[in-house]
Amino acid sequence: MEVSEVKITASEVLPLLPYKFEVVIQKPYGKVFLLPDESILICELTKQYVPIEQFKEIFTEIKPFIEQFGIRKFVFDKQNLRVFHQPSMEWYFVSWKEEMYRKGLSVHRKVLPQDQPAFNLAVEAGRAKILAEYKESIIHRLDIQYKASVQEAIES
Amino acid sequence: MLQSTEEYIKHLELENEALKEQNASQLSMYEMTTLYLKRLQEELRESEKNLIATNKKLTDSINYAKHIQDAFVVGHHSLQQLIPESFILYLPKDIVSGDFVWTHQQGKSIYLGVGDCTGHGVPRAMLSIFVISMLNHIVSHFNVEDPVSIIRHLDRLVQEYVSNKTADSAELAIIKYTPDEKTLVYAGAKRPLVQVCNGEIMVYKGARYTIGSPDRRIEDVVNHIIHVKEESMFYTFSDGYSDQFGGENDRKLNRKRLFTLLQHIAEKPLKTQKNNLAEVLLKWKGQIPQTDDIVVTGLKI
Repeated sequence: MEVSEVKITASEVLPLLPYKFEVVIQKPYGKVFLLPDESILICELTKQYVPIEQFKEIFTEIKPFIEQFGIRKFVFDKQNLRVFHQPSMEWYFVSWKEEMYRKGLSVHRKVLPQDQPAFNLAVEAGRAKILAEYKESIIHRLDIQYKASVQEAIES
Repeated sequence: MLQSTEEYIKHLELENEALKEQNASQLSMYEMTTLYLKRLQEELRESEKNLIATNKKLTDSINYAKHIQDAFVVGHHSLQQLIPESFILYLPKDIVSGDFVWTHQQGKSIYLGVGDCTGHGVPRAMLSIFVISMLNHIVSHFNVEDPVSIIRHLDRLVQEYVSNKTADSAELAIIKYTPDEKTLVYAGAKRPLVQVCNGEIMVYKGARYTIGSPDRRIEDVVNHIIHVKEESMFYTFSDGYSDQFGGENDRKLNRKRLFTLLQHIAEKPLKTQKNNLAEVLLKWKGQIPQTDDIVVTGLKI
């Protein structure tokens, strides 16, 4: 049986996977896991909705880890989210990702909720809007892929 | 207690604010998604419009090509002028066809060719026009006296003009019929001739050679001389009829069924024969699309 069939989010699945990991940030609305041997950071938002201030807070706190641990891959686990906030995503894509790109992070993996078509469609719509509005940004140079599970995101 | 109540109220107010923000974000998420879907819908409509326009342009163009092809391919009435007791069942899979019927009158003899060009769609139809043009060229420029000599000339021309540029070619049956002599000479490259006389069927197989084939076995194409002593039906056809998929198990109709059918209908009036062939085909294929171009010719001699 696939691990992802039983456990879904990073919090649930990481203890079952053969990777060394530690929680480096813990908030009431999210957690950040470091997989030092893989140079991977995983951010899991644990609420259905995270206001932009908190969203920016956790992602700003992630920044030093990217450089410090030479992070090459960032996994964003959105499986708990149900409400998509476009201004947060714009900031995340255009500001945060660009800054991290300059620190050497260009591989992004995302895990969307299962059976949440409205949310996933909103992600698609938001992404299309950002790509159309920020044609000159580095987004087009990033390796961004959507994966079905955290395990797949780590391994891809 | 009061302190705790006030704190509780404040907590509820904060939670209420957070929920309001979440609701507002959710609303804006749905609005953005709706706009996105509307834009996608518009793009799809635009694409559909373009596809319809392109499709119309292509269909118009192919329809016009059909007029040109019709000028080359012999039709039912033209064949009847040469051989009154004859019919052609001509069913292109699409608008234009790779199958063709060609005739030529030379003195007291009549030549009839039934061909099947390989390939697909419009290129196949263009190839059929080329082959017909070459057949006309051969009979007007060379002193040909039998079907084999026509096929050999055609083979050389196809090799010269077509085979080195494409793998496509043609299968062909040619009959030379001289009414006064009551003889019929047949030669075929993969296309057979079927004779039904007094309920008996005789199949003259074409050589296993495709016109212009680099596999040089043109020598296998030979003249079969048939002395017609009693009234007979002769049939030539492309492989489209027997290759039609259908029936209960979605299989090819196959040659055996076709030959049995020809044997069964040969005594009937020509118009009935043609109708029977069309009806059996229609019943066989049912809802399945036509597999290939189809041509069947029948001559009563």
